[in-house]
This record gives sequence, structure tokens and C-alpha cells, in this order.
Amino acid sequence: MPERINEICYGAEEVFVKTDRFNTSEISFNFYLPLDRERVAEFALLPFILTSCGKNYPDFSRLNFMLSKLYGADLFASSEKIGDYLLLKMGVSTIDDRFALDKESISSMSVDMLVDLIFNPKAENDSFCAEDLAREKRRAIESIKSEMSEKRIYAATRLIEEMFDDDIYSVKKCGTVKQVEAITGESLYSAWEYMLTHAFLRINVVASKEPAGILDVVKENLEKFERKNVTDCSKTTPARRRALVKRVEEKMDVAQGKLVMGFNVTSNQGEDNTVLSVMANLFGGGPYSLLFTNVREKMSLCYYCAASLVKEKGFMTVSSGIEPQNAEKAEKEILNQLSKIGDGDFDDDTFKAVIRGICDSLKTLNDSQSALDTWYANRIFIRQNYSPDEVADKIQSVTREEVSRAARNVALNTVYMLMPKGEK
Amino acid sequence: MKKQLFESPFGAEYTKCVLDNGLTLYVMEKPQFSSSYAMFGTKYGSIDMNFSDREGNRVDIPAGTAHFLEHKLFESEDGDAFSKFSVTGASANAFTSFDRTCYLFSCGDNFYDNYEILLSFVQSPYFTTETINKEQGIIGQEIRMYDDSPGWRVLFNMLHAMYYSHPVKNDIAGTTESIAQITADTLYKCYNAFYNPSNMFVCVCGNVDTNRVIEMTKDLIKAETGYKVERFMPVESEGVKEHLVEEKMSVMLPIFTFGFKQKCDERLKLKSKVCINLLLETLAGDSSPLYARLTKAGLIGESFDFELMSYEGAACIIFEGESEKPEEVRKEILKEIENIRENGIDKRLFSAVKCRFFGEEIRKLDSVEEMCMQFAESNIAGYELFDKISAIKSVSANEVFRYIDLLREDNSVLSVIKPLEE
Repeated sequence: MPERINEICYGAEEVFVKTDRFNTSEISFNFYLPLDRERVAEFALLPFILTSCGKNYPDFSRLNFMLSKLYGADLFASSEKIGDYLLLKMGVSTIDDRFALDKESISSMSVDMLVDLIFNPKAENDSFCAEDLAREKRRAIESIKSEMSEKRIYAATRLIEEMFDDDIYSVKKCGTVKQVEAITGESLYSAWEYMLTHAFLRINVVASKEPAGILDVVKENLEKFERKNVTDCSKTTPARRRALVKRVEEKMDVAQGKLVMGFNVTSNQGEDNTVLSVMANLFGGGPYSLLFTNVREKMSLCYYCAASLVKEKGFMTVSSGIEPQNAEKAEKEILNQLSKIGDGDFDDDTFKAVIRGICDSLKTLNDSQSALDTWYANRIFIRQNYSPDEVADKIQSVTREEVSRAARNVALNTVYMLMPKGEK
Repeated sequence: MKKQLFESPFGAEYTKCVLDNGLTLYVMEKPQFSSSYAMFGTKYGSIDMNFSDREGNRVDIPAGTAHFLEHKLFESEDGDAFSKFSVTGASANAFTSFDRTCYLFSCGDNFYDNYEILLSFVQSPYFTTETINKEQGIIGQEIRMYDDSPGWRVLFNMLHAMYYSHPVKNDIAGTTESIAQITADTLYKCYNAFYNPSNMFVCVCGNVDTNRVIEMTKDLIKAETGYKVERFMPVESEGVKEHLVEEKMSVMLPIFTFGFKQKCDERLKLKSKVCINLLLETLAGDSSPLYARLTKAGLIGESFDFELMSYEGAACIIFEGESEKPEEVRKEILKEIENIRENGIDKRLFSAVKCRFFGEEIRKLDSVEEMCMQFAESNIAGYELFDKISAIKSVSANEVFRYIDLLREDNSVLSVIKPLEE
């Protein structure tokens, strides 16, 4: 896929993925800031408040009405943790102009709107408007509480908290309810200024053509801020190893026990770590993986048992839903399967299936704009801006021995269990 | 074989074939795409619990059988389908809903090899007592997982309070007790009744050649003619069982589903569905006065949504989300319904909503998965895909307004999951 990186100005660049296969165009602004325990809630609220209204779009109902008129232009916002950084994303996806019933210029109107929302917030006297702030704070609190209500997500989040108890990575991506409650119009405005002064900015465009003049407009807007000490995204500290495995068990009114295990892996900063991807996939990726075929299919212990790799932070998790009395058995088998990879005790067909499976999935990424957007936004740490197809080529050359070696370097760090009340 | 080409004014086209054995095949070529997607489905879901077998005997099956069958169909006598897909590198899956069971894969390479695997494993049932026993444990844990999902519980609590006898009220995966009654014989009976070509459809979208797909399908689908399964749906009484249903779970914020039961002797037609969806978006979408009021009052947040559920003999309109005060949300929705009933639909808002719906249909064309889902829906609901766009364009505010009478308080149920008291 032809993709190009254009430098816009100090600390800002554009990745243009030119593609003719879609009926829609997508552009996203990705701001990267170091994780900050004190200010995370403020930063995380920014994408949401900025895309809900603005100086020139003061009313959120009216803004939504305009988005409908623009054929359902999708204005999206998120806040994610990537390594030791917070990624604040704001973007818009629109259908191409050729479909407009009255020949309107849908894409340029949408991109202009997005730029205006980011750079011209609805604020007075260096403070966000109270009504908008109250609305967005409430929404953020709802979303934090909502995640805690879903026990699979809750258990995964608790594992991270426990595993990274002395690491900035334990920070919750949207902060805590208490932190959100404490945000004021002034503190949020200052966070907005901080973002535009210090955040590294990567703009992703996945479209048949670049929005006209976009780079100049962004440059002009950024120049209004004294850009300095822009985030250097290469400094994530790998997960610390433990001499003794940490074990945490919590009781709650749940029907099913949740077992989440956190492991250290050895990853190379700035690299693609394709060997780790293959190892984690063989361990607990698709239905051919060792966890699926053994813990689920052979032993019938669970419905799901899957591994998830966080390369940039150097760890991997395995999560499963189990009957409490099977927890020990499941944990033992999960570790057994890992040591089998370390010993090279897996058949060649499975290994080949893993390589084929990953390469095939990478190829399908090219058919989704949001997947391509995520791909390039998450590659901020990686020195080479390879496309999915290029990474697939690298995956092909991973060997069994490399995978076994990677598995031998995996170490269990923390085990978190959420158990039904009344169980031992 | 009956073959037809359907073209839309904006360049997209697809071929629909009805094979001699009754199977319907949809193919949309996307030559610029790197990937392809295929789905083989049967019009058999969790609500199909009573039917007559091939000998004409009535069969009543336990809740969760369709879903159980879906799990078991991945195993054939010569190994499981996942291991076959692992040779070709595709990503395969399946799902069961109220009215369908679908088997699918997406792939970058080797489409035709994958397609052969898909068509072949779905036509090769192999059920034994041993494999069924093994699956009880796995599905048992899937059921437990849903037991802990407040979003799932709040919906089924509502359906339970809404329906007296229609099987839509049963959990799709059944219960631990109901699936314990499933035997190999149950699965074969269901398979033979519902997995026959005239009750099935295949949807393909991506970097494929239509003619080759048609030829392969003709070769690989077993010949069979004329059999049509007879279903028995219990007669559903009018009205709802209860207007309010509450449960306590380990949640941080109350979760609600507020639904309106519809009188429904048969499936809703396309035009009615389009009208209801346009009405709902005008009534409660994010540019509506109701949404603004609820948001301003702090009664709803990001999770607020609405939906029309429509199946054989059962349809309902639901509003859902999280709120500190679900009862207040209910009141506000009812107030706005009355407001529209008295004052009609805001024409400007309606025209913007139509634009949005039109844009969404164009957007769907960018996803091979979404297109296959759309083909499946059109097949089950009995319309042609591009008719939906024409319906959206042509429908008037006055036509949509008539559907406001479907939203009647006496047919409504509020289901709430409340936090446990400490």
C-alpha cells in the first residue's frame, strides 16, 4: 500500500495512506503525551469535549444535526494508553463527495469542522464552558463505571493495576472517578493548551486524496502555540520482572470465576518484535493455538482462554472464565503449554498455521480504514513505518527456534483471580 | 438456476442466484480489495424450538439447541473445521442469533480453498455422545460468562417480562439445565430439518470471481429439492406480562432496557422497518430534542441507544443505556412520543436523518463483512439489498409519522439492573 510520511512542522507529521478502494475517507489527529498520574483524567477528557462542541459549533445537538446533514459523517474520539504514553485521538470519516445528492463538498466541510473543533474550543476566559464540562465529566464517569460493571474488562484492568503497582503504566486510561470529578473548566483549558504545546502529533489520512491544504492549515494553527519539549515517544520502560509471582484474589457477586495472568516478555524497543507476535499467537491466538486446543477443547475447562500481547510495554496476559474449582487446573495447564513452546514441543503444522494466520489477518487490515488508522497510530514507537504487508513478509521468516527462545524468556509476574462470593 | 444482476446508481452491484435445490447465493465482487468474506447460513435460530421433522412428526427441542449445534458442526468425522482453515490461513467463526445460524470466514489468500472447506463442513454433521458431553462444559462456561454480563441480562429480563410464550424470551445459548437434555439425536433432527438448501443462503463479498463462485457452489452443495421445514410458533397473547422488572447485580450504575412490544403476526416488511428506524432516529437520535433534554438533565450518556428487533412472530422496539434514573428516562421517552403524536415530525430533522441513513448505506459497502451481514438480513427478511436505499430516499415524514402509534405505554416494559446494596 503506498503510504507517505510528510513532516508538517516541529513535532508534527502526517501519514498519508493513499487508497482507491473505499467509498469513504478517514482522517485522524493523534496527539501523544507521556502518562501523567495527576493529569490523566484531564487529558483523556479532551478528545471527547473537543468533538462534542466548539467555539463555532456551540451546541452539541446542532453539531450532531450538521453531521447528519453531512451524510452521517462519523466524528470519533478516544483516549488510549500506548506504552508509557496516552494517545488522544480525534477524527472524522465521511463518504466521498461523488455520492453527495446535491454535489456538496462533504469531505472538505467535515475536515474543516474537525480542525476547527480541535483548535477553537468553546471556552471563555481560559476556561471550558460549565455546561459542556458537566456533561462530558458525567459521560466519562459513566464510561469508567461501565467498564467496572463488565467483569471481563474489570478483571483485566485489575491485573494491570496489580502487575504494574510501582509503574506509571498502572494509571487508568481515563483516570479515576475522583479525578474526573475534580476537573475544572480552567484545569481542562490548561490541559488543552498543554496538549497543543507539548504533544507529538501524527495525522493519519486514509483516502484516495489528501484534503486540500490540510498540512498548511494544521501548521498555521500549531504555530499559534509555543511548541517546545514535544513528547519523545521512544521512552517506554519495560515491565519490571518479579522474583516471586504476585497473587491477588478478589471476591464478588459473580457467576463465573475470572483468571487473568500477567507475564513479562523480552521485547526490543523500536522494533516490530515479530517473533513475540508469533509466540503469543501460537500460545493463545486463534483456534489453532495451544490454549484453545488444550485448555478449551481437550479439557473443556472454559469457553475462552486467550493470550494478548502488549509489545511496547513488554508483557503478555492470558485471560479465561472458569469454574472456581478449576482455577488451579487451568493455571497449571496454561503454564504447561507455555513451557511446551519453550521446549519446542509443538507440531510443525500448528507453527505453519500460526504464521499463515497472522499473515492473512495482516493482509485483511488493508480493507479497513479504521484498522489502518490504528495501525499507523500505534506504530509511533517503531522506527520503521512498515505497512501491514511488509510486516507480514517479516513474519514469514520467523523460525521455530526463535519462538522457543522467546517463550523461555517469558516469566509469570502476577496472577489475578476474581471469584464468586462463598467460594474458597 | 435463476440468476440476476442487481445494480445501484452509485456503482455497486451484486449477483443473486437461486440454485435448483433452493439455496440462495449472493456475490459482490470487490476487485480492489485484498480480502474476501464468505458466510453460509441457515434460517434456524434460538426461536425455532418447535417444528415437524421429515417424517411429519412434531419435534420440541430444548432452549439453546441451535447454538449447541453451531458449536458441534465444526467437528466432522475427518477432523475439525478449524484445523482445516488453519492450513489455508483463514480466520473462521460462527454465530447463532434468534433467527439464524451463520458460519463464516475472512481471508486474504486462498479464497477458493477456504470456500470449499466452509461449504463442506457445514454439510458434514457428525455428532456423538462423547463430543456432545465435551461441549457441555465449554458451553456451560459460555452461559456463565453471559450470566455475568449486565447488558445481556437486562435485555433477556425485558424479553421475559414482555413475552408470555414466544421463544424469543429464551437465552440464545439456553441454560445449563436445558443443554443437558441435548443428545446426538436432537442435533440430527434439527440438522435434517433446517440445514437443507432451500432454508439456507450463502453470501460472498471481496476479491472473487462471481462465475467461479457460482460454479463451485453448484458443485459443492448437495442436491436436494423441495423440502420445506414446517415451524410451529406458539400463539403469543396480546399485552405484556409485567411492566417493570428489576434485578440486582454487581454493577456500578443502573442499566436499563425500555421496550415496546409490537403486535406481529408475521415478519415486518422492509418499508415498515425503514420507517420505524427513521422514526426512532428522529425521536431519540443524537440530534433530536429528546436526546438533548436527556443529556442536559444528566439522565443518559454515551451508552444510550435504540433498536428495532424483528423476528417471526415477535417484534419490539427498545431503548437502552445506563442511567442513575431509568424511570425518569422512561418518562421522558413517553413524553416525547406524545409530543410527536400531537405535533408531528420535525421535517428539517427528518430530512437530516434521511441523509445520515443514506450515508450509512454507502459506508456499509466498504466492509466485506458488513455486506455479507446485509445480504443475510435481506434474504431472511425477504427484500433486495438496494431496495433499502430506494426506500430510504422515497419515504416521507408523513408515512413515518404513522408508526408513532406502535409506541404505546400499555405495551411497554422497563427492565433495570440495579447495583447491589453494600
